[in-house]
Amino acid sequence: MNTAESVSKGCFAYKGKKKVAKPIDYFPVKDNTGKQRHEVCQEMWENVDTEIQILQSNLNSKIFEELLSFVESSHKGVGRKTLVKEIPTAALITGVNTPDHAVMFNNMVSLMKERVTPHIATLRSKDCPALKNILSKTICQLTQRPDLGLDDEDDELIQTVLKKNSPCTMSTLVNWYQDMYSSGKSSPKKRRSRSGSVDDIDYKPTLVIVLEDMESFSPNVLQDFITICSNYIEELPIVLVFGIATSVSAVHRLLSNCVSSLLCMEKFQAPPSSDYLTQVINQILFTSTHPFRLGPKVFHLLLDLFLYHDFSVINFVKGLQFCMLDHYYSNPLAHLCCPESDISSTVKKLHEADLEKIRLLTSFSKYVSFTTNHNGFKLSAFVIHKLFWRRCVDSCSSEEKVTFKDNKSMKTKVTELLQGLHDYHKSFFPLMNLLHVLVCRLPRHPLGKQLRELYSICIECSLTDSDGYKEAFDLLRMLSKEEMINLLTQGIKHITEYNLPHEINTIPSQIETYLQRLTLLNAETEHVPEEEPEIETENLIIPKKTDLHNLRKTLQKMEKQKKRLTPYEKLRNETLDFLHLLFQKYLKCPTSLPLYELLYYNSVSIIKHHINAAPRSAIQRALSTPHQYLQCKCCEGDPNSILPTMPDVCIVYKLHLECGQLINLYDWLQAFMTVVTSEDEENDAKSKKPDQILQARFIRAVSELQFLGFIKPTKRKTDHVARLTWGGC
Amino acid sequence: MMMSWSHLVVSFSSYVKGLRAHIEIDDESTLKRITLEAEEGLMVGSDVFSFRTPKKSGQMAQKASEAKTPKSAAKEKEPKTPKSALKTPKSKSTTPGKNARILEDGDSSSDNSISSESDSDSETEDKSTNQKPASGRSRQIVHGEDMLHNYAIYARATTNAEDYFDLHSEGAVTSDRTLSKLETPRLDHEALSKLLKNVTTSHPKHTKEMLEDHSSQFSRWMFNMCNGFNILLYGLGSKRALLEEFRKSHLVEFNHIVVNGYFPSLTIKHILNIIKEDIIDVQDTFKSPLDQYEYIRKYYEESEYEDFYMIIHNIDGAMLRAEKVQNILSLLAQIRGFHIIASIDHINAPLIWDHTKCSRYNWIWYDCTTYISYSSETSYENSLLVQQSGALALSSLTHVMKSLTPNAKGIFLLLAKHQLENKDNSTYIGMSFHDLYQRCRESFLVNSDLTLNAQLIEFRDHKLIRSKKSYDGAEHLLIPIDPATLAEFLDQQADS
Repeated sequence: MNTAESVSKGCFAYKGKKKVAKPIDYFPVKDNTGKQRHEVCQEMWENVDTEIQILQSNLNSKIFEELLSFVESSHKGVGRKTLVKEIPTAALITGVNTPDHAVMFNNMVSLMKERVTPHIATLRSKDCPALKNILSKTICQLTQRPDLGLDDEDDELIQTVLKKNSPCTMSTLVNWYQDMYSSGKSSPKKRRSRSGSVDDIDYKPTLVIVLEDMESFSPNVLQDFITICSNYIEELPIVLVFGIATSVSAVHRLLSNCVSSLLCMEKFQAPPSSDYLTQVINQILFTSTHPFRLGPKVFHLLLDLFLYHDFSVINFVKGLQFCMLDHYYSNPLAHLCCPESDISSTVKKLHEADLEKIRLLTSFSKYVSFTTNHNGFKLSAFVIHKLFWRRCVDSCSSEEKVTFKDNKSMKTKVTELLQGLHDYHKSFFPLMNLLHVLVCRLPRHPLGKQLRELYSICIECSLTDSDGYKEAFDLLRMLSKEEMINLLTQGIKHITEYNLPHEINTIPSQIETYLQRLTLLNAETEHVPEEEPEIETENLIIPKKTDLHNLRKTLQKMEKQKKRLTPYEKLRNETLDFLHLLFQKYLKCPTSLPLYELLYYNSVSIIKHHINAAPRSAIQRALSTPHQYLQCKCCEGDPNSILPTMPDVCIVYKLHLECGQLINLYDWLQAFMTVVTSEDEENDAKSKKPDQILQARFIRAVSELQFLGFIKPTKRKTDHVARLTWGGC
Repeated sequence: MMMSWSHLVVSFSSYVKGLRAHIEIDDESTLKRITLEAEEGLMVGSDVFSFRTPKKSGQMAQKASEAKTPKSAAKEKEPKTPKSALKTPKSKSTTPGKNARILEDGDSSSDNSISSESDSDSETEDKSTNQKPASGRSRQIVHGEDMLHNYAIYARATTNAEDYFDLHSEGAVTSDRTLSKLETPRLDHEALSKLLKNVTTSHPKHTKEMLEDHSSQFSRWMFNMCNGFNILLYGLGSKRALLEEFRKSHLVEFNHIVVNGYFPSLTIKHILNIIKEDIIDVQDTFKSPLDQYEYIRKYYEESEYEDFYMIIHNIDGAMLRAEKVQNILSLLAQIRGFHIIASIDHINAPLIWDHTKCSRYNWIWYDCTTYISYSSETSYENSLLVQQSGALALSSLTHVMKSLTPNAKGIFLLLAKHQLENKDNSTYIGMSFHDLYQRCRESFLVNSDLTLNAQLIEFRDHKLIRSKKSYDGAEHLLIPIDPATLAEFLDQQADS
């Protein structure tokens, strides 16, 4: 059946036999590693996913706890003394990351159902365009009787009401509530047993009405609804929960004074989503447990998307998921990105072809050429810094060239290198954390306020060479003693939280000794400076007669001498040098390590095109520079020029860029014909194509531009169309 | 009026100032993003959204005649503009996806080449040779320069905001020529398609290659969909054929539906009904689309896991643009086992989704530029001035006619004939109600003005007639269809 141009139908259904699509069927299994890669991929993603879910449920636990106790207690303590009773209202400030809210409210409602009251109604502005919808939705959900639902049309409302014999009004709700929980009648038995601890007679569960997106409700509907609720507050223990994305003032903006005075509001601030993001990043990316890592550019892009687009953690996680899937999908060696324990078994299964692929990796070949060149050399000071390299160099026998060709030893090499990568990560994160503690409070934040900023510097380039790092260390060299001691103690606290690998587990104690020396210095400082004034006074003598040049010199000298270090300063420098060496050793840029491609996903343009695509610029690019897409020579040239070989729609588009608001169709057509026929004239114009065909081509191209949204028909002038964009070429 | 306008301008310009201040605050990050995009050879925002100074009429003809100049001249011109040549992206591949891969491989090398080029532009020769071994530092410097350059572009784009008002304060400067100067001012749909049948598409080989490129991604699409993402195709050219190919090769075995978003009378109820009736096989009726959605959701989430695919050609189609429709579609996308694969073409298509909907859809975007003409997508388009064939109007007219009573048919034909008789009368505003009543009585079509009125209401509901009051207050009735179509309609009626 051709579905394209049916005049009677717009959708078509097809039935198939198969029920479930398996992702493995679509994994590229041509190369033998496909299946394995898919398995590892699933396992890795499941690990990450479960961890994120746990985080999610823990995240709002504190605020939910408060909210629950508010809901619980709201109708207990207050007697009926006041004349007008206010509706207890919780204003839950959720933040602007709307995509995350659905999950949050779901969690909250299920928690509330479990612990406070079975009667909860959740309302979304989309379902409630009018008062009757809001009422019917509320009552249906509270009474848990879906049959009370009704439709938009008024007459239908009456019909349903008549049919069902139970009108959808608040008094129905009151009757229902009194039936269930009135003190006179015995309440249902199960209810009693559940609330055993609570005072049985007084047990009256609250009715909670959650308005998820309070700001999007129409103010009139909301005002009426609140007024109605407040009228029944004596009979029904109603509690409102407003989900507010901006600030509490939204309530006052939406509701008139007399309505908002009916509410007794309490504010609950949900933690900002950036906190949540920090947690996710710290848990997933800044640990050595998950082997998969984001490369510097991808990491940066995902963060930018979060910070500049939507603040949505869910979207960030989805981006992460996509990166991970794509890593395993497109990298034929990705199954080596597996948990540490599986490395040796996976490497064992490597085929010849896979090893060949490893040999072709840029980082690996760099490594090979490095080791072969340097093996004969004495280890220069330069190499000592690159300790990792040295380790590798040491382990290389003199016949490493043979090693890299022989499959067996190659495998051991690969295992070793992968193990090295994992070890590197194990010491990388504790030390990064240590550095972060030291630098996060420095003025102007040379290395960023957040751990993630520091991380992105670390993985982007060599940290110790970066300007930010140098600036930070210069600032650190100016710290006072108290600050220094404070920072170091904090640093030790942070670093000991990690399960430190063998190699660096002495670091805390080493820092501890520095710290002790710093504190001990207290007593010494008094003595030492005494020596110094002598020297200073010696040189302080300024010759009485001197020219400006000499004076300057002596002053400069004095300046230098003044800089003579106090013992504290000496010790501070010593400490910082020690730390600097540590950072240099362990916070190397991952891209300098062999085989890093296996763990780091860095194809930023794929992410950009698939997650943060720019459809309009793609269309405009295709129209203005068709040769980039078509890969043809004939359309190449200056982006402003129009060539007759270009597709019709491109020519028409480029011509229309020359116009203002309105375009004369006749002129446009003529210009189009001029362009298209220009080639023919060059070829001696054997047979000028009949105008009708050109006209038809023009019509097609113009209607395509209309379809794309560049122009629209207008009645302001005959045979004109209006432009809808203002871009030039 | 004037006051409020000037006020608006003032407030707008202060808004622009605010914007600029904002840009200054986080210019670093903005610049970073611009450089990132520029590196990839994508169009920077200023290219897409800039204003230009208003043009005089005849600009288009001038431009066209420029193209006419022999190629050799054009070629000579090229080396004169080295800067623009530098800016064009280096890798020329069919899709940005491919582009990306190339860039990734030769990442450092391309960076180097950029650095050396921009250096020789501005710096002395020896410095650029010094910097050629691109250590991290030298690269940073070069980036800084690039940034400055881009910042200049950016600043230009923002300062031009006033140009918008310049552009709109002037009247349109276009010539007064009309299409009637042509031999055949209007082609109808049929003639058009007949003419176009013989036209060879440009670059057939290249477009075929592109299509093959895209179809090699099919299993990737499926893999993404299996993992809970939905696929959205964008880019110039019709993606119908591509999606159809995908459907035939990968989806035939599964339950799926195809929705033509460009279909002019599509509603969300149609989509939901077809899922309900043809896929789930129930005949229940529901009051609102939301209830129906709820039913479908329950059905799928309470039974065993089952995959279901929706192909939506042009999810940005005119009938699907409404907020309510998109809301339901995005809700459908969230149902367990539901997968959507859709295409968009309108340049502002992403505006139909807010954050919440976007996140519900969970799109993975694919650039599927095909350069294939939108033949079926634009076939329904009746509004374009050039075509105006009236073919659709005619078909709907005959459609309605079939359902009318003989008497009602007679009334309409009477009206149509009268209108045709007066087709050359430019002051004809329609047949007066009284005239029509008289004639209808004469031909025994109605017996009272009440019955005639009832009949006319029905016509009006189907938008077959329009009524106008003349200067003396009498009602005049007009069929809002051009004479040619009307004549054809009368011929048809005479035949049957």
